[in-house]
Amino acid sequence: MMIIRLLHFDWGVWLGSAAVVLAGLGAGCGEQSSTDASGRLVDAVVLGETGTHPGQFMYPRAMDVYVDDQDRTIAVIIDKTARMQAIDLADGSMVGSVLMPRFSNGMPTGVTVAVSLLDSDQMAVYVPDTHEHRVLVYSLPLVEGVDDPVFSYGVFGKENGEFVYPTDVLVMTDDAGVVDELLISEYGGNDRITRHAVVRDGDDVSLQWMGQIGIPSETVDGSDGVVALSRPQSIGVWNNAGVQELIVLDSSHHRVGRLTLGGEMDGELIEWYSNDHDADFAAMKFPYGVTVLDDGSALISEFGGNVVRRMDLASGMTIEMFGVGGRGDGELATPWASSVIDGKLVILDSGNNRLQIVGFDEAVQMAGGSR
Amino acid sequence: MMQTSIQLGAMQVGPIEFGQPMMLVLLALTVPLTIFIARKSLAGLGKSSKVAALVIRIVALLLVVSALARPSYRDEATDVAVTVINDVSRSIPSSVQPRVDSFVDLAQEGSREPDDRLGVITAARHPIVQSSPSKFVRGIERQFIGDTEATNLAAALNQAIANRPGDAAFRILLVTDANETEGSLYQAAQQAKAAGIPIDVLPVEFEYAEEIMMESVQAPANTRVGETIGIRVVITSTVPAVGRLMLSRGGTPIDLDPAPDELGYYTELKIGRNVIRVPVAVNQPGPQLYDAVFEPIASLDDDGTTGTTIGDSLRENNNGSVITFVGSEGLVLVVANEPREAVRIEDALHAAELQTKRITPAEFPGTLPELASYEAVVLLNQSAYSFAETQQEMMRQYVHDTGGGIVMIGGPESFGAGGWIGSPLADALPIRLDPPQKRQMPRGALAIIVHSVEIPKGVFYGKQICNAAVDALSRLDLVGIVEYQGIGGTDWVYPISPVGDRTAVRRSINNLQFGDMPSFDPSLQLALAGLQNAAAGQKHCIVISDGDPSMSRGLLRQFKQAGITISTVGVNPHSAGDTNTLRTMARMTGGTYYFVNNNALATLPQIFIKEAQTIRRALIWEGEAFSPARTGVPTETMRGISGVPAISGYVVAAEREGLSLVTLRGKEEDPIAAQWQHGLGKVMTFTSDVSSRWAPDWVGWSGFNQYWEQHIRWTMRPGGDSTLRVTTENAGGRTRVIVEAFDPTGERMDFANFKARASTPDGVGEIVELRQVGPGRYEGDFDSSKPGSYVVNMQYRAPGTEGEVFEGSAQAAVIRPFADEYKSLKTNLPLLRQVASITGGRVLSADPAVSDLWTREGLTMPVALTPIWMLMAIVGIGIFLLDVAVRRVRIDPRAIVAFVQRGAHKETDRSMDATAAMRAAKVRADSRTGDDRKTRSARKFEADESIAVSSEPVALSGQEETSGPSIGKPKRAESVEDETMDALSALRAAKKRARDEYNDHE
Repeated sequence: MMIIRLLHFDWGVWLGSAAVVLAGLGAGCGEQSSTDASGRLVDAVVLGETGTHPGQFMYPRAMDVYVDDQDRTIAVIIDKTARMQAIDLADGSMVGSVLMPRFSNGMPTGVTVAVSLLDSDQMAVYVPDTHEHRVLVYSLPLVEGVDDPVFSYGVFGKENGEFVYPTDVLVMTDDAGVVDELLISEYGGNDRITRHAVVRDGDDVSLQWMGQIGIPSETVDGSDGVVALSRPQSIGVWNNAGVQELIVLDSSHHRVGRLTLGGEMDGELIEWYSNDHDADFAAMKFPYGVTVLDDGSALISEFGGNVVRRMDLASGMTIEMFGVGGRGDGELATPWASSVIDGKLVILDSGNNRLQIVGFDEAVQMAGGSR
Repeated sequence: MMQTSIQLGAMQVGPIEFGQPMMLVLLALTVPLTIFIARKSLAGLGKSSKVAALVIRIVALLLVVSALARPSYRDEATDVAVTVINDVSRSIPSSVQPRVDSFVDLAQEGSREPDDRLGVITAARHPIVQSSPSKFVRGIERQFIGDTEATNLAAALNQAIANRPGDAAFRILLVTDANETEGSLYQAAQQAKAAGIPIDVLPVEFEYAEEIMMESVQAPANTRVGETIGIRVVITSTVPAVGRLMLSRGGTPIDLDPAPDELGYYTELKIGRNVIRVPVAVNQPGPQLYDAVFEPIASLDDDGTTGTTIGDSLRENNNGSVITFVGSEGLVLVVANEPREAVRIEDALHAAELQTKRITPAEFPGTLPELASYEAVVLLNQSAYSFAETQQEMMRQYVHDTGGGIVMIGGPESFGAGGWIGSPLADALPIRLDPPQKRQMPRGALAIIVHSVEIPKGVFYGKQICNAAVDALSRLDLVGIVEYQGIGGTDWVYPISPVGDRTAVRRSINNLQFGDMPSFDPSLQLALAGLQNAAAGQKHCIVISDGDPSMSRGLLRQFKQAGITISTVGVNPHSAGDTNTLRTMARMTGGTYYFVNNNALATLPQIFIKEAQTIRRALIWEGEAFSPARTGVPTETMRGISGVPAISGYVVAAEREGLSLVTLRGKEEDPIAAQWQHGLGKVMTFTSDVSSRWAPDWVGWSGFNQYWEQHIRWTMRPGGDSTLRVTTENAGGRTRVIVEAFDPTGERMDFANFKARASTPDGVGEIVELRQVGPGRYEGDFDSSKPGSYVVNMQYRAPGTEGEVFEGSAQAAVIRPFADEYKSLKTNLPLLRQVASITGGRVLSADPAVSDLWTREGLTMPVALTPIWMLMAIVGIGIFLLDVAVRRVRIDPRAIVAFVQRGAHKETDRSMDATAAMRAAKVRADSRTGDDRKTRSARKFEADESIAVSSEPVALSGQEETSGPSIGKPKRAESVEDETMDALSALRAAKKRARDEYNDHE
């Protein structure tokens, strides 16, 4: 005789156990890194594709992000069709755009969103119009068809107040949040960072040349001077325990520089982090975009390395690398810029004509250029 | 609602599709069988157990049988993609395009869903994808549209089909006048039909109300000096009109009507076809090109008075041309850079009563009919870059298709040293311009550095340039290509290695990405290292760039030290600074800087040929004078010549396999003089020169005249005493050639064997079959659908009545002045209707409001099938195990709960935090060292008094605990009596209890 006893099923117990297991799995996912063992981005949200229509890109080379007054997170992106598009990071749709007023020589390679130098209550976009040798300022939000900037500065040349190829604009504000200085990096035989004070006379706003940091150099050995630059493609400011430092990407020398900013020792070299500074990680190749974070680290988008590196600025050591070179999911091709907003890392995957967004430490924000 | 449908061989149940539904029939057999068997085999179970066991068994069976029926999960797409094929060819009036744009703009506001996609392809000679189907695309865009002088709708349709998204249903919207000049839209539509793609058509309807078109200009194919020929001009008009007909000969206007002051011939046109006959006197030998142009003045009213100015829409079709060959004997074209170089050869030809015309390469004929009027062409020390690629191709056709002769005489700028390697004419030469493989020659090495070419079709041109440079190198030369690849960084895409047969290097060129390099330095470093290590005499580097990468002068100094020159090509430099970078690079290393903008792209390949030539001076042999050895081959050209004078230099080349004959040889058996027949014509090469540079002894040699007369006469196109009257007629896309042949006595010439070939504008050439259709009359035809010049060359052999053989040749030229694109004057509606009807598409009206572009009607949504048979089989097998378990295993819920709780407690133990662990460790330590150690160890084996012996059933194994974990706490014992019971007896006792309990329940 078989001994059979039918199961008296207690659904409550079983469902409860299942819930515990699933919750455990869910928690596991939440703690998961945004890259896998090879460095490939995991579960990246992809926005944009190749093309010339709104929301599409043709080799986008400049990006910055901000939160607009409707609480949307917006990326401002400039591509090689000379369009500056405002892309809603929620769905990739274009919510505003501007066509550069002139682009016969070439297109901009940088963009900065910061407080407007005309109105400290407004945000503005600063465009280093690289191949047109000037810096343009646009009010936000961007309005289609309104292509003329509200402020334009610079002409071609190598003298004071002139530019060859401007690459990045750093906007500095005073304690009251009013823009009082712009730092502008440039290359093209006049590789340097120039400083321009904002001069206000009633409603008139103008810029006044205040000097330069760095000189062009073909070599990294310092024979041309200590701050010897070759294509400073991007600059940022780091508040190092109350003391401001200028962070510069010396792209063609494949290195990151820390320089003094303000005070007696303006523009003095503190330290170079060369491309092989951190032997535990791949050498730095053509760092093109820097974003300083408020925890003392910086995101460095490497055009040549096809990776975004998070570097501890105090030590120059690499904290994490995002992405590997390639065209597939989670891979990057010649990234020019990256930013952090609302616990998300937004990477401009330029060579693949798209944005890739992955999770990031929510406690960390971008550091601003305020004094 | 669950949807069920059965198609042939597949069955769909909801989202599941069965690939082999016949397997499901097994269910009808096995389910009743299972129930039948279960009635007996499950008889020992209680009722509820029995039902449950049966249900489980049937579910397992269902899953296993379903797995056999190949189930797949269906994921059906919901989006629709529409690709608009926008005909942008010239036949459509330009005013139509804005209407097309607004149609698409408005039409998408109708039924377009947010994720529906729009793509745009423009169609003209080539289809060009303007936007791939995407939800972002909201309207029509046209960027680069290519050549608009032809319409190939079939290619555009194929492109659209190839470009369709895999995860959306697809429609094509064809916006066109359907006047195709290439390809077959109908055939392409058949392919769309096969792929299940409906083609909606939007006919671009127009009709040229007032249009005048010159259909043809006709003249006799050949004539003689002094005759007057009648030129017929055929003009079609849609309105009565008056205008002026102008005729020019070789670009010089002819005064047709001496009465008025203006040139030209005042003409009235009626509706339909008008034929105007113009008599023209012929007074020059050679080919005569007549151009006719009709200039409309005004419309003509019924009463014969002139009306308003007429709006002739297409001016492109108001002209026509014709060529007549005016007979002359032995005209030879001599091409030389300077007159003195040609004097000696010209004297020799004049002595032989041959006429010559001497020109510089800049004056070289631009059309084949013009070139074909010469019997032979002598090229004296000419380099390839003096001639456009099209002219080089024309020379090949001149020999191969029109039977002309070419004599190529050397010099330092000629043959391989003159960039002819890889040129179209190289195929026609009796020698190979690459040096022989066995020959130990100093080699040249070339490194090419490519940077992004930021202009429309930049990558295409970039590849053309690299190919041109590589083509101009000899097979022994070394070549390498460096580029910045976005992902891979700077590297050799083709490491420095011999050119060889060029297949490997061509493959690398084809894969070039033209990446945007930030700095020249890594590329220059690679090139420098590569060239330094290359075993070559001449080393050169070419940089092609827009000039904005950064550069280090230190590197340039290293190039200079290594004797390596750099030439730079600035393609659209961004600024003066960039130009400067490139200029500096060239200046510091001794190279050349070239500036190229969008308009000068065509010159790029020429630049590279010239550049590549700088590394190939090595092909010239110069040394102590010697007499070339005469080979023993008896030829007509060497008749009576036993030996030739000494030469002190020549260009090294290799013998060609096949029918080529080498008549003079130099050092190491190099060919000096060689000859062969190529197609209908003949070619002779002489790799030394006829000047004091390399052949001073030849200039004064008594056999000079005889040698060159014999060679040049041999290459010349054969003449003949017979008379051929050749006429041509256009019939649609073909041209009919009619030959009336008379022998020297004036009798009709029968049974002639004609070898005829038509050279075509695309350079391919076509054999024309001429058949006798009557006494002395021969006819044939050839395809002449492409615009441009056609030359038909006919050579014949015919038997005479006396047993003699007549030989000779004749030529005729046909010119199609404008593309077929301009011939169609209204929309081809029937073809469009046909395309829509065979593919299940619609003919849309011009009203966008009623044209539902994204309609789902008639579309098959693409389905992605994911096989799930494995999953079903595994679940089925799992349930089968459950079936066994239900029957064999007794499960007690309370025992499970107890087990789970105990398990959870164990888990808690493991996950105990650090403090608790330390506390526990302390307690354990205390217990070992403390005063109460004895007590505790004694208590370890004592039962906790608070726990009574349970009367409840327990599981076959496991224990129950009533309180949380307590480290050091004694374990609960089964009973006081069982204190020392071993494991086996405990098991036995438990089993007994279980059995008792079971019996109680039963």
